[in-house]
Amino acid sequence: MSRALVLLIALHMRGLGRYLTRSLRTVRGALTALLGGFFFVMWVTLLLLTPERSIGIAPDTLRRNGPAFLLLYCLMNVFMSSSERAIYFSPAEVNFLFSGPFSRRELLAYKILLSLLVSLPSSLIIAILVRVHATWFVAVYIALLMGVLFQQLFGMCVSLIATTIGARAYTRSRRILLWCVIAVGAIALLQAAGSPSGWRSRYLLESVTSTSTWQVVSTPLRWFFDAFLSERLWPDLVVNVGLAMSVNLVLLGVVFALDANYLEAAATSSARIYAQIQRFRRGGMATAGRSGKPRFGLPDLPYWGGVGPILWRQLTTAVRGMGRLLVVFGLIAVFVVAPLLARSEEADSAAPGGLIVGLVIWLTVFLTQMVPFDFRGDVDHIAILKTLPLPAWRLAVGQLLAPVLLVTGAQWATLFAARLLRPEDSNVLLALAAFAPPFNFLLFGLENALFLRFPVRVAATTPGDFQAVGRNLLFMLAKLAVLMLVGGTALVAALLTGLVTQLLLNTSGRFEAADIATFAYLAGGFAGWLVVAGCGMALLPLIALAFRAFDVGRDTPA
Amino acid sequence: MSIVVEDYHKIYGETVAVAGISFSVAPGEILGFVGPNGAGKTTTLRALAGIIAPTFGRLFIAGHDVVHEPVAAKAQLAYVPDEPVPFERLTVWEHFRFTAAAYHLREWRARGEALLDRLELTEKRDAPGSELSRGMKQKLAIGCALLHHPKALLLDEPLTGLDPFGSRSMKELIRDFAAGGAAVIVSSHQLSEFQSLFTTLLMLHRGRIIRFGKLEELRNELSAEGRSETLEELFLRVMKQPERATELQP
Repeated sequence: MSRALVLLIALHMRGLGRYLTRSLRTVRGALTALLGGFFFVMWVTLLLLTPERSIGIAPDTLRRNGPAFLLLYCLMNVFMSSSERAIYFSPAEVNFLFSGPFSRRELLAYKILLSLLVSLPSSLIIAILVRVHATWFVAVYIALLMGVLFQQLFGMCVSLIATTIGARAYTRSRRILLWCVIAVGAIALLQAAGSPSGWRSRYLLESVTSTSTWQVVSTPLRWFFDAFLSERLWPDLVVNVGLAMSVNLVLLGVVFALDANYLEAAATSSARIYAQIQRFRRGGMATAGRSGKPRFGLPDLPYWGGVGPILWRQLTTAVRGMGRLLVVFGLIAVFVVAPLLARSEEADSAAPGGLIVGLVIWLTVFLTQMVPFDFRGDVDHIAILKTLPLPAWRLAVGQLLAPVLLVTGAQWATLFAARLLRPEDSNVLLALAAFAPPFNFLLFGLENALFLRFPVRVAATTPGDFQAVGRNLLFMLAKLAVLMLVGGTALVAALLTGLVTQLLLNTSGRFEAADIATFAYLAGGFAGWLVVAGCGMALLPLIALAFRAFDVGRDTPA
Repeated sequence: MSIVVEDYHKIYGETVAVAGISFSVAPGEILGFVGPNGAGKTTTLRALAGIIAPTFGRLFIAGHDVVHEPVAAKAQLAYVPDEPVPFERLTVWEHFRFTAAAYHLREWRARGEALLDRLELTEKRDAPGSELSRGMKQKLAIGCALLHHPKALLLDEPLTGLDPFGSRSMKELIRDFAAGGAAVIVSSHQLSEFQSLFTTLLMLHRGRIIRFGKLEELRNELSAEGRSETLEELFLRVMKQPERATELQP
């Protein structure tokens, strides 16, 4: 590889070091970095104190099923990628390297080496996390690095083959392959359905992975898991890592042998991916989708003192990025909500209400970052918002309503599903549904007030950025403190109102005990609702103030 | 000739981006590459820079075929795209350092300092790429391009984002560089800005050349017709009826 490219990698590393230590120049930055570093060290220490193999997957299970998951992961990367498969280079790399005096092979070597170096720290963290499934940390780390390299080389091979056979043929072949995989999967599922163990995925996977064909095909992949589970340096680790390395070397050989003219596809595809990354940096995952041709639009909303047009714009942005968001909702529904509810049914739990409350809270916390269709997603449009002929508080209402509506919708859908599964919890679910809108308004109000006061991009964290970790932690604590304060106040208000109502109705002597209890609950609930809603509304002047104080030149984050 | 393009075609599926153009640029010449959006200017420059491959035709930089001898050709050229993006975390000086290493330059520091000074980047020497303004990024890209004395310089909209001082010094830099023996292609829409700089003009429309000739010859032709048009007026007139335009070979 060219010495200039080695120098470039060294300069990248130096630049990263500079970037990560930039925060230490200010007292605030140093303190948040210190806090982030402290919590990170605590977390790692806790993980390291967990004994190896204590709660892990059985080695045989890992050896048997691991290769299938690794292959599935690599295939998923191929299927989920854009139709014009290409190796990603940043725009700066396209600018400086593609027209520079470097051969295509040198650029590939640079890309592989850079990715491997970048994966060194991230693999270390993953190794700490997954070490409970193995016996020797060193083996885990080396095997993970081998796995990362395999995944990258596999992707590169597919990209270069795609470039060699042409984009159209590649898309056609990929579609045929995808249909083949779906057909095989469907046949296997139908066979499994006919077996005594039925649809249970564990048995299905076992029956597939125990076939002799799979055993032979998956042998090279199994070497990675053998390396992962190695207990000694010799012969276990050396032999298994050697075998895994040989797989990677074969792939590397294919990559270099193909030497396809990938630059054009890479330049085009990289520009598109970079645009997606930029959109992601501006507004998070929900806004990162393709900026394709808009297929539909929302009808105009009434003016509502200026709130309508603002809400319409945010909802339009949200709806256009909804595909990705719906995929996330679907995944949550399939992998989180359904199993949890099913488990609560199986166990005949006495307190499913608690489970549902927990689920809704978790969903809310998760979705808060997923739907930044407010000031957070408008980080590069604050200047335009400031020029609008609207009072700041109305602008704030318009900005907050879109995420509030979206999250409330998702929560109500979850609660409705829970209602169908557990009709006996209707009252709890109804109460949760009633509290959702004011709570969401309060939550997004807090998020936006904090954002405008301490602006940071939704998705701008770099691995190892302790300042970002510390800042997120402080924000989380601040939000939690405010929510607890509001929650406590609402609870006290609800209790007091409930007691007073009960007392008054008892004194009147005109109601049955059951009616009095119902009225007391309703009055208490309403008082609590008013407190939460009032606190949310009280944030509006603060948000308006923070918006007015936002200096576009100074406060717009990099 | 430092830059030679022979029957260059670029076809995407059923779309013909460039339909067989041929031209050459001699050392010391500054070719104005003009045309409306989608005419094929950037596609041609990117093909000359070795970023995209031609569908047919051949492209040469300092005698080296861009497709068959890419490294040798690229060692003699510098390309500045319309929207240069520096490495976010590398400082201005580190960009120069990398460029010097890439083109095997030994004594480059004095020239680097001089370029920093001329491009008014001295104060930004240790600033990372992510902290540079649009104009500064443009200047940095030009600085890196000129550091290694390329024989062919390809500039796509080089004045975008520059203030009047920056524009003037950029034009002087391009003129000096061409005077030093390099062949320069400048693609731009700002014709009035470059009127005094171009030595040759090439007008593209929908992937075809509709005018190509020495600027002086073009002026003579216009005065013979009794016209006193600026470059911009000529461009607008020709683009209104591109099919009636005549092709002039220098």
